[in-house]
Amino acid sequence: MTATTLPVTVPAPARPRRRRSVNLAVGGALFGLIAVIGIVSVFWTPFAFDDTEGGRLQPPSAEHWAGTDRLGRDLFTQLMIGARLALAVGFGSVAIAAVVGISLGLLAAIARRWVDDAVSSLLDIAIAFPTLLLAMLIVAWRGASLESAILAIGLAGAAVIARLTRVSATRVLAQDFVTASRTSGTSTWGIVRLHVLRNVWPTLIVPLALQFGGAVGAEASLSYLGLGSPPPNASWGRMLQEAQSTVLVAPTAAVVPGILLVALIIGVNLLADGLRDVADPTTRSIR
Amino acid sequence: MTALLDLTGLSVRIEGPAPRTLVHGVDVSLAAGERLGIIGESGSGKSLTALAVLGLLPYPLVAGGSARIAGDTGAIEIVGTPARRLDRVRGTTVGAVFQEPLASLDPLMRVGGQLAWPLRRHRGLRGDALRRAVLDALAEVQLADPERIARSYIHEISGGQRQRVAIALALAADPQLLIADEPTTALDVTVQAGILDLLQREVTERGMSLLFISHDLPVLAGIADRVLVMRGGRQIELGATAQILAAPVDPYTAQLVAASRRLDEFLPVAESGGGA
Repeated sequence: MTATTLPVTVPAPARPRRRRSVNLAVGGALFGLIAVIGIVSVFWTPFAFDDTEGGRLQPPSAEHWAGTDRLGRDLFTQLMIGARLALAVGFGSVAIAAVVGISLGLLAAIARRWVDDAVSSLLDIAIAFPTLLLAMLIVAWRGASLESAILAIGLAGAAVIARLTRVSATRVLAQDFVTASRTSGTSTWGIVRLHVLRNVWPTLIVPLALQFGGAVGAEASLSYLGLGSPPPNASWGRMLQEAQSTVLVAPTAAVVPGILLVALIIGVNLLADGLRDVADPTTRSIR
Repeated sequence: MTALLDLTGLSVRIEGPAPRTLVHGVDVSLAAGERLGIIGESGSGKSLTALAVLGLLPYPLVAGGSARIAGDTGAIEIVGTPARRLDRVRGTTVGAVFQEPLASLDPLMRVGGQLAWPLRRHRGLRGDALRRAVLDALAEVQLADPERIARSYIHEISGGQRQRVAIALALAADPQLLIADEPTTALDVTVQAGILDLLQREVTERGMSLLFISHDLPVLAGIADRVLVMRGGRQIELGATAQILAAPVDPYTAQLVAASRRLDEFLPVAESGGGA
């Protein structure tokens, strides 16, 4: 222990702060744009999704902003609906992953001993289980639908979130401030609500956002393989699959959904990075 | 006068494939309003004894013997009682302040929010009354500008301020027994004196009992009525502070006393020993 105090003030470096706000701004803009497109598609699209009057495989024009597909349907309309589906998949599967994963992880961290062993073994198996196989099993059970895809992707993600929650909650529970809070009479449930969730959250927000991006990508893969939302729902993955046979004739039909897919995933990841710093005030003031 | 805290053969052991006893039978009782100091070197078992009294030994540590607390709300045996029932005793009957205030406060909660929780739970305060109680509690531990402190995260305030917040937190539900586990060890000397004054004053004003744990004899001598000396997990000597200082029976206690005497010869201020 030293009693010396150094009269030094450390100025906060400016660069990381700017970079963080850039992350937040760019991520927010990309995500926001696609979210707005998705929401607008609920009320309005340039054409009906099953309107085949546009002529087949037309290039982009003033009437059909992204051209038409091989059945003559407006591609921009499909892209808008696809945005809505991508958001539904992202939010739905992240919600499932968060609720199931955080609950299991907390249970394992609090219960310890044999409950912990049981949950951990279950998670080992779940993590080792291929997502695609799980998706096929769920599709076989419930039929190919958007909900099946969301369920499969969400459950696959839940295993990873549960593992992270368990490790991080175990660490929080061993902290002195939990003991101190206990001494003032906080119950186990109170400790979870007051301290554990709050301190686990900053470590979960980035993985959850990555899952959002991953889920959108996974749904595209499932749809591409015919395990996702069935026609005529225009998921970006199915648009890619349908465009593949005509990619040399009408490249926009393949390129545009791909770009949107990438933009959404990058946007969410940047947003997550920015949000993590906001969720953790200690990093905020260090920077 | 009945004892507020009564330890009989209180022990702490590690369970598992290689069981080992870390604390061998502590016998002491503490009357209402009495101040007991526990002194011993690192690893002597003094902090484990405190955790055992709180019923907060981390797994795989297990307490044995008996630790009875007889507060206003009835007597309870800590050893072997499930956590759910102990939650009612903690805070209202026993409160605790720990060594490292930075670690014993939640880094992601504002000070006001942390302090509001026990006030809400134990005193049932809500809304404006709760807000006022939080500010009062901060003012009571002599923190200037309670409004600002309440809005701060703990990394935004100083070590001494943090320990004052921790004390406010321990006192929030008005406990009858305060356990202070080396509350000044992590602080520098000038701040130490302030914290000790604050503890003295609060204990006197509220008529609380105090269990003060330290490795610093001069600090302990200034605050405790009786001193319990521990070494290697064993209770070595127990007696009135004056008697321990004047006529220690056990050779280890004599050594401790002699060591702080020798330190006193070098240092003009009696209460500043230890640390460094």
